[in-house]
Amino acid sequence: MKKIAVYGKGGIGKSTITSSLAAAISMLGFKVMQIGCDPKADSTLKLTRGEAVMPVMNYLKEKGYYPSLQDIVVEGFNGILCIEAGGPTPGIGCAGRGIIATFNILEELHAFEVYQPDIVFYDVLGDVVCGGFAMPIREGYADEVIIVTSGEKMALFAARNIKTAIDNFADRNYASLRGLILNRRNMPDEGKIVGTFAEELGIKIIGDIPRDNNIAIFEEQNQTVIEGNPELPISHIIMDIAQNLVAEGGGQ
Amino acid sequence: MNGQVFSLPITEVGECDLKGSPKLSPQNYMHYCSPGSGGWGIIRVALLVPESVMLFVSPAACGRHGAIAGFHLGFKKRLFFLQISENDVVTGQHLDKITLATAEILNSVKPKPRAMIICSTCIDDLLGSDYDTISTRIAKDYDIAVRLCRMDPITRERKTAPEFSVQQAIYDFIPHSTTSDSGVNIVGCFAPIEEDSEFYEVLCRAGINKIRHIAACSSLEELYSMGCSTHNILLKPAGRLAAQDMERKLGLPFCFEPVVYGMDNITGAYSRLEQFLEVKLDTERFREEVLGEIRYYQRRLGQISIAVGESINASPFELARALSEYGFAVPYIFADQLLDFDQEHLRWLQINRPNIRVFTNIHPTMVDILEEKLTVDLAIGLEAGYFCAGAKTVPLTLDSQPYGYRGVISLLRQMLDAVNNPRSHREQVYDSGLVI
Repeated sequence: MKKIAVYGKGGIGKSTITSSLAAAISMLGFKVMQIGCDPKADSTLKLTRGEAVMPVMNYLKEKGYYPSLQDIVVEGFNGILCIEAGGPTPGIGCAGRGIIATFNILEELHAFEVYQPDIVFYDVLGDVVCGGFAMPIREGYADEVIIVTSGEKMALFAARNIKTAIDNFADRNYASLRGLILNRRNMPDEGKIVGTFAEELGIKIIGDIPRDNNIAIFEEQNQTVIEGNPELPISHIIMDIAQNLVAEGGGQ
Repeated sequence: MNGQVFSLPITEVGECDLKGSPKLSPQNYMHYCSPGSGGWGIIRVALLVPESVMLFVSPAACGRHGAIAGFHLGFKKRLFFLQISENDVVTGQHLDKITLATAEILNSVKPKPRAMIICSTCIDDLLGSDYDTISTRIAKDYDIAVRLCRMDPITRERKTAPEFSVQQAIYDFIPHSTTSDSGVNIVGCFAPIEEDSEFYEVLCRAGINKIRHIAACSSLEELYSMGCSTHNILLKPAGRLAAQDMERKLGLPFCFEPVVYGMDNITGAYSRLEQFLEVKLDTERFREEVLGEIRYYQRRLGQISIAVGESINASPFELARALSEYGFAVPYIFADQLLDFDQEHLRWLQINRPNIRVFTNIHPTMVDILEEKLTVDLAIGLEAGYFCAGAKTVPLTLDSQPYGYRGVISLLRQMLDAVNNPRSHREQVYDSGLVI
């Protein structure tokens, strides 16, 4: 089993890319689980044709007791197991704690032992700001981290922060950094800017996804582009990244 | 409160409790805590690990009652506290102080401890603090076995509530063994089975010579040798998580056979142990012997009335049934929960002793219990002793572990002793070192 956490600035396209990679890897014959670690609980919508997955935290809020796996795991496109951590009502509670509680519950329910996924994706909100949001990269959770970024200044700023956090944890057997995925916004010199950034920080660029309207078109139908049309050039690009991801090695 | 104290006729205790309705166990109220309630706390259980020290990392208030009880129980040289400030909570820097505290402890305690348990609290649960990495580093840097436990009542409703996870932590010290010696471990309880129990002789005659218990281990090596056993017998439900863990990690199957006091229940327990251990257990002689002794104690004790509490070394329903079968009157039971195991005994009591009233220790109306003026000759359990003011009390705490046919004699002996030499209830509570 390989577990991969996907981080990056809010709105950069983490859920879209994570879901597309999950779909692509499932097409390669692997059993995939995607765990959305965002209070918005919208990470897996594109894998379930828009069917909402009951977030673990919502279940606890509404029912008042702990769920079973059947209550919180929805099988999406190509058998992908979809889980959403969910979180508190905006403005109250603690979102980081929501992730910790979700992970604890998944552990108690022996989710990995029961489903035995080959690949697990943690789609994590934003930056490594506290213990809760660092949880996915801790020992025993993700093995590798992928940072999604564009060439925009704030996206690179967030990427740098995430890299720094991973470096700070280097002596703790936490997840290693697999690399950057450039999700292009079509800004001038974007490839060069991100290339220079990656070189400066010593990070590998493991994917370069061009802006493609097909992604948005299929998203409107609550699908990934891989499900919508696996033969499109953009789907081939994502498939290539997926193939490299499941290949051995890679951590930096 | 000055209202009527909540209680149920035993005939109404049952189905709804098993379905989680808050009949016996009120979930929507603050819980009442009597002066007689409590048991073995996390610290006391964790320090069953031989040659160990504990570092308790907590805000001052969270450490207070554990510190008082711990020192009262004589753990002053084995128990250390690292206080967390508000600044620590924000910055997480208390995690760095753990390593410094460890160095200080290991430099000052003589002989040098060989095992360490680091205990965190709710606040680190909420922060998501990474104690795993810290413990791995300490184990490597100081060449000491380190395990983690939590005193986090915030998880009280979960499978990993502190009383369960602390047992998981102490048995987690035991490594997988490549050799086995057909020994048997007794787990879940905090004291070895009493030496005068026939259990040892019965198993020895069946070829099982090594019966191991953590409290009987004087060194870490002895604790590790529990990994050489082939079976675990679980005596208390709170040890189930640990037993499941040992089954998975060490390959030790377990069966749950709690202490019981009814003769037929004991016979049934031995019969199930025969199947589990795949040996013939010859117990008939002990059954006959004990039947004779029971008659002696029945004569000496006479027709006394007995209230049965919950914080005892027994299931209150099974014990109430056993005492009824021995001819004693049991008018009151104090119980907060109904386990699957209790069902059979509850049904027997409902049919044969329908007049028993069942009180809930933790129900908020229990604050007025003394106004009920419950009167019995003898109370079993410290909280039952408090609720039935003036009753002579048998604490029947977890400090010693009766088992088997002679476990009945152990109980009857304590009952007779309490009747003949009654002690102050207050003294009994203080002596027991109860932790809530």
